Amino acid sequence: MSTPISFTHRFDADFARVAALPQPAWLSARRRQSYARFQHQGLPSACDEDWKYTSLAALERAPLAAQEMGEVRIPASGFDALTPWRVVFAAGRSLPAPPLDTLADVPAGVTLMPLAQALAESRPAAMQYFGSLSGEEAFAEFNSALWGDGLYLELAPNVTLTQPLYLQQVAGAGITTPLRHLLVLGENSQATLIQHSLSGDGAAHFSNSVNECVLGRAARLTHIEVQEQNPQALLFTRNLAQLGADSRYAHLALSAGGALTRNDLTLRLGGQGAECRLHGLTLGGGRSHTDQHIFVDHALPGGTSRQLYKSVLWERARCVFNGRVRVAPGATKTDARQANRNLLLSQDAEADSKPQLEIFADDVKCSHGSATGGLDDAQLFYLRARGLDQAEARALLVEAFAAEVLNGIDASLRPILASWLHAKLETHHAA
Amino acid sequence: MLYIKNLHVAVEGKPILHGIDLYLRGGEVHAIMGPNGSGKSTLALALAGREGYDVTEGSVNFMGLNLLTMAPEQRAREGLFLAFQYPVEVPGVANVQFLKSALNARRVHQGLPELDAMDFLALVKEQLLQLGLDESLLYRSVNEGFSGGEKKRNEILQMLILAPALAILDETDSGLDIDALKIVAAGVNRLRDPQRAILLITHYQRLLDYIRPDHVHVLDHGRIVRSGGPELAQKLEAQGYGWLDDDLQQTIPGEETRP
Ligand SMILES: Nc1ncnc2c1ncn2[C@@H]1O[C@H](COP(=O)(O)OP(=O)(O)O)[C@@H](O)[C@H]1O
Ligand SMILES: [Mg+2]
Repeated sequence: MSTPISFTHRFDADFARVAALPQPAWLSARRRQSYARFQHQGLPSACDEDWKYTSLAALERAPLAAQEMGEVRIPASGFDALTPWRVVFAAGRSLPAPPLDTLADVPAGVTLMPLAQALAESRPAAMQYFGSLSGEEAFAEFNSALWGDGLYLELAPNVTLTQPLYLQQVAGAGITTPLRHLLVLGENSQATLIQHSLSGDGAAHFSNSVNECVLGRAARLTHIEVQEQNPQALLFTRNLAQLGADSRYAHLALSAGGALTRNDLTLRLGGQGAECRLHGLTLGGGRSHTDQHIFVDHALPGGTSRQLYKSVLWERARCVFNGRVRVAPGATKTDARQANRNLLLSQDAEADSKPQLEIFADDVKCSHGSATGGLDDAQLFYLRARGLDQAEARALLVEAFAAEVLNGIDASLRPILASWLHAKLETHHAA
Repeated sequence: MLYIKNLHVAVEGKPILHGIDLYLRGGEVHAIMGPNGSGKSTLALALAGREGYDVTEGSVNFMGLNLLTMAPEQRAREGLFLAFQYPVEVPGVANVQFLKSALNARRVHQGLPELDAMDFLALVKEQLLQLGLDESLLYRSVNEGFSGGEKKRNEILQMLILAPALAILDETDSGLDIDALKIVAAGVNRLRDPQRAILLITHYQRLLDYIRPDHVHVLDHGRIVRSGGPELAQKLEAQGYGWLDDDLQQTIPGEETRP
């Protein structure tokens, strides 16, 4: 009888492959270091406070084939209509067409290239910030060791990316090579990124991606993440952002489906007067488990953070919200608010809410609130008393509840997100 | 039109209505008056089909249909309308979308084609104008952040658009200033016709100066203790509800007051 190979040791062949890629010596050394750390620390266990409600047993058990280089079907996407700037990563590799350098009419001052190229060319900002935020958590080290492809976006000061950049990440069956992206927004520059992760087919897959975003003074980034996972999918994402003085960061996470999804969003308000608006919506049915882990670090005075995380759960779905806010000593005039609302549409659905406020400064405004429950009977009756049937009334209320998270986003992007949401709720018969 | 016979209703196991009898013909306006807590809203909500309002005895016939076996939305589609005493706020649902869904649900049930956006807007704008309501009300969430008066007028707006066979108005007059009251009353009067009946629930006689009822009933402790013409409302206005209690000592509640 052979013992199954533990998750942390399944990747030797993949590591050998990425280590052998043509790349600067410092990068392969860094990969080696990260791989050793990943294997040494292993996967987090339930004893780890950050993984208390999320078991990784499914990941360890998953019968995932090694990296497959087979064809991946690229599903049609409603977001295509939004922008001509679309980059597709299929099974962890960027598709040959369209190559990044042929994206039409990208303004001067915008650098858009594969991350590996930016590092190979030793672009100063790439060298400065790559790995500066990702950290040493197990999945971060995993990514730092094994990432294969990814995007580098650099905006020179005062440059505006006039249309959204649409990044589609389609997972194939099995273990998908991790993706690594780096965004560096110069002073007073602006960009919108739509990052769309989805399952290429119904097969089980494990995907991992890490984004590092650095916002210079008064820069603005709108980052929309859309996740559409099949019921067997395992998805682990980490978003790390460093906010310069007076910068604005808006993040919207729409997470639908998946066997297990873990999203870590870690923000450092590292400049005075930085602002972030973080909205998230989890839609879960079946036995899906979604863990939204937020950490907002108010490191300097005068920062503002707003969190609104909601979930709509049916059948046996479960959602974990962990919202940690730290106000560092001296970070006075911080204004941090957090709200978590969960709508449970069945007896067996479950939501766990864990706010953590760590306040080490005076003269700050911090609040949090959490509520979990079913649809409101009085509202349902009111709609039915006007002739809407039960299903229609429920659907209307569920959608109204869910759509609130879209309010954090620029009005021009809302209609397409609203129709995505409508279609998602309709196909899942959530109500 | 509406024939209520010996209606008993319990809320959360507690008996509230103890045998209500009421008969409304097409074209009639009936007023129900009574002190706070007498069961007026319980009657209205039971007729509209609110869950938790359990009919323990009696029957209700609405246009030949057994009302009590019908779901709330069926009652609405057949033409029963309740203007709520406390209209419910529905954040995130635009008033215009709500109105349109409600009207089209009724129209489809009546075998009429759904109204398209243009025709619908034309209809709504006409009514908004009559009710002195701003068009922006359409694009706000249903009742959310509406003033008390806006909520009540929004109920009347819905009523006028749905053009029900039976309208039950539960204290729609409460909290309205005299100008708003006149506007609401004019709206109700516009709806009056031989095919329709109106049940006006009110605490005050004031509304009845503008909408003249054919019959007035007094509800007390879950029973109709008096029925009469408009002069009954004036007596209540002059003397309050106190005299009912004294009077009740000598009468068998309900019996001789059935219409
Ligand atoms: N949800 C409820 N649960 C228990 N008792 C209720 C409830 N709603 C109303 N009641 C009681 O029912 C009685 C009648 O209330 P209601 O119909 O609202 O009176 P009205 O509209 O005439 O003021 C009152 O005694 C009130 O306390
Ligand atoms: Mg009442």
